[in-house]
Amino acid sequence: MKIEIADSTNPFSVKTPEDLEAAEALRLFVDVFTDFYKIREPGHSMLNGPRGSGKSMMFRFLQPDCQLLARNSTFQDLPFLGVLVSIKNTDLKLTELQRLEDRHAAAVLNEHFLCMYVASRVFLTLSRAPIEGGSVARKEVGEVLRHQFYGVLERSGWQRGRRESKDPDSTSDASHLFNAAKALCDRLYAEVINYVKRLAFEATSLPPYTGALCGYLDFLYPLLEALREMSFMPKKPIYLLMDDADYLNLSQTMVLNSWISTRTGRTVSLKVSTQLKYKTYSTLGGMRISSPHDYSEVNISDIYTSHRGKYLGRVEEIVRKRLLLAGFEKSPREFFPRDEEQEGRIATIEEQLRADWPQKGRGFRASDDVVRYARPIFISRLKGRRKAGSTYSYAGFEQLVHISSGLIRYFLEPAALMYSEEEALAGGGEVGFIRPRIQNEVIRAVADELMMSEFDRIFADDQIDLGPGTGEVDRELMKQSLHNLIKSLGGVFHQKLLSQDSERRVFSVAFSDRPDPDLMQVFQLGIEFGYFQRSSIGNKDGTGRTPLYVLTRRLAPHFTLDPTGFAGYLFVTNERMWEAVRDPNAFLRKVKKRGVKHMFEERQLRLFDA
Amino acid sequence: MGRARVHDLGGGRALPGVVDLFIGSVSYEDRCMSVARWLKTSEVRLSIIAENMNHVEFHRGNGERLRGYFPGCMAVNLDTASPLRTADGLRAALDEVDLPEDGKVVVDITTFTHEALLILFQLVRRRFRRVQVIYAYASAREYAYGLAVEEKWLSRGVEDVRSVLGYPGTFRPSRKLHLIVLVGFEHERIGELISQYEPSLVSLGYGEPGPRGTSDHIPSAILGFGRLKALYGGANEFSFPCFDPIATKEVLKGTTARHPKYNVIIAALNTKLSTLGAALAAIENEEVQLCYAQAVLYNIRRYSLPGDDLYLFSCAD
Repeated sequence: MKIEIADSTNPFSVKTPEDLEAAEALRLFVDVFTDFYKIREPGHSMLNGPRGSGKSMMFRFLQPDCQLLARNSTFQDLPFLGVLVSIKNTDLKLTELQRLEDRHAAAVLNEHFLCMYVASRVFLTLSRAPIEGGSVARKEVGEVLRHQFYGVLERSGWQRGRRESKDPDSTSDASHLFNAAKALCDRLYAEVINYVKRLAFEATSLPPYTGALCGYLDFLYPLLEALREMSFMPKKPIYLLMDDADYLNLSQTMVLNSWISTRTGRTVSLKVSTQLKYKTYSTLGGMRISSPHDYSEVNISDIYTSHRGKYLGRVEEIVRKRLLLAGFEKSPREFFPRDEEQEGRIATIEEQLRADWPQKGRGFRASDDVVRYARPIFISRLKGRRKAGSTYSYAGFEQLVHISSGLIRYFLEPAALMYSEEEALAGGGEVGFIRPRIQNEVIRAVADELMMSEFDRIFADDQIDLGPGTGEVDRELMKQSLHNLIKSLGGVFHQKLLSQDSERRVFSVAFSDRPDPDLMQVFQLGIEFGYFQRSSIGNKDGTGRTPLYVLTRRLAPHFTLDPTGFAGYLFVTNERMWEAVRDPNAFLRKVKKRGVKHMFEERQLRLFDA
Repeated sequence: MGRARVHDLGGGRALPGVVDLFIGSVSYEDRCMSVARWLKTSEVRLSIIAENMNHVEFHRGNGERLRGYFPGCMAVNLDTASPLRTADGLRAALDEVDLPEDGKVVVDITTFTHEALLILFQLVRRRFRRVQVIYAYASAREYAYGLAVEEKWLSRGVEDVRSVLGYPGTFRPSRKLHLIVLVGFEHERIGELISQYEPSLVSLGYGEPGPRGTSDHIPSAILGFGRLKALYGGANEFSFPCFDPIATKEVLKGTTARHPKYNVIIAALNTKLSTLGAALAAIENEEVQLCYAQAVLYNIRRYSLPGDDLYLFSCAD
């Protein structure tokens, strides 16, 4: 669909937490630390969640400027000093560094690179801190820098240049001294890049590196300890908030793991956020770090898929704050109203189900039947009347939250597009709320785009020539396979919704037999691209657990599925899934003809709310 | 230098005289043969034909056809997933070539990937300092042909984002990030770039309507542009002449200079000529990094139809 655009402030547009002023960050921040309390406690932590799940916002809140405002305290009384170390994709992971992989220089140079990066951010944070203590503080800072920074750097191979020919100027204030140290870290970081540039087109021999080389234990940790001991500093741990550590290369990741393994967590805690693509848990010494031994682990997705009511509440609060900040007085539910005509018709079906329950009810209570069947019946009746069957409206705050699949980003992005559309259509007038028609159109367009509808056009006549156990599957073929798999599963779930089965709302599959590696690669690719989430359930034999693959509800509008609940899953076999991958159209015709019940075994899933 | 018609190559009008070295790339686009088809290949002494070996099955025999124009050519294996392999392959081939000081090199940049082109540009500059190097670009009559404007697409998704080998930039960890994008069709790729980098500042450049036929490509780019603005409202906008590398370079220099205290990454997603402009900007200002966003899926069946226009550019211009 064509989206109209107007120039103005969109309450749902993407905001980079790092760029928010402390006051605005506080206004927008929804306290999630009751869910993620381990992050605020001393000790190393890993915070895992897809992009857009709120990790960066959490780290922003932990920075001293936000903490000072939130707690109304002094710098010295802060419970920790949070230093944001935001790792952008290609800040550290330079392509040239690939030349060093499998060479002994990789670890040493990458550790020095990472140390300078972190140290620069530490000094940046301290240069902005409201340090009290005047000349005493200045003197302390000068001493620490002289011995623990410049002195150690010299011993590590740094050659003091004319710019740093004197000791730290005792007449400069603390902030100025920290800025000078930060500038030196930036220069040493740049020296590594200048060396690395020479590697770009050298396939065989490495030019010699003659700069400084610093590590965590000989440089960074002692420096942080010494800084922490200064009289004006919080007498609490320093938290290094390593945001998006997936963007480290393999060597850098192993370096960071080695830091985590050093058990310095009570004084210097490493809080590492990842987008579930962390490259390894191995250290440079060949050991593996693990939870809870070396760090505490928090998985955002697990928490919000296990407690969907909690997620709904969080989104409501976030949206309410955004609307308030933008000057809207409406609640999220008022701003994103349901299609009341549709809901009225569903309510009629609900009443009928309640009335029929004593004689024909399937659930334990009448309300069980209402929840399970009202919406599916409505959708199936739509399909009966009209050929397309696609007039179900996904408007309404709660439906949009369900469709976002536990990630706030997948609520806010479509909301931004909806707002922009309304704004453009208003032609300069005010936007009061998002009309159901616009909500529905945009969310359907987003789902269709996610499904890459163009695949059909491209591969319409192609069938996938793959078989089980064929070994390495070419990645291009895997992408086609993934599309076919999703198309098939989406179609099966839709058939299930329209059926007369006892559980019609299904979004997940588990294998009753052992899937072969090639098929697992396809599912793994799906997880990588965000089409599936992986969970686990008890296996069929009751002898252990088996993976459960949950299709993202973001695709619900594309396949006309009910996003508001999914209490069931299907057991599938390796052979069935290969059928689905090879020829989804033929597979779906077979499912339609025989019925989902006869092709798959269904199970109730107690993990989710009904 | 400047603009000509592709068939002017045949009469020797566009590129008179012997070509000491021709460099081209195989592609699923038939445009990979536009220059070779008209060039007087009997007057080409040496040739290097590169091909992405991990995409051979998508090239539908174009490799054989292109190499057929240059008997005895040096075949170079590239790999879209491995910039080191690409760089090493190109360098090894270029090291085999000896050219006279007054020699002439023609590089058909039309269907190299943006990343391979940027790498090749650095290698050619280092290898042939005194030789005349002409970069040739054959235009497209239509992109995503056969599709309505609002349905046009060239690529989907982003598989990997990486710095381009040879253009790492010189960043300061304490600085914020300014992402500059030369926008093409791939608004989805741009959204992914912004999402991954989380820049503090975004500047989006859209190509100015150029010579005949090029403005037809613009509407779908604007549609995607609008979507980006909805999501990332604060983006700056600028325009650039997408068929003029030198002018593109100047625009990029200006855009960078307007926000001096930022680390700068440029993503060149428009024409290959404007990508050369980005290369020149990054070479002149080594603090600038160039990045490459590899797509998940390319519209290999309907990517482009060959056009009639030929652009020629030399760094001496």
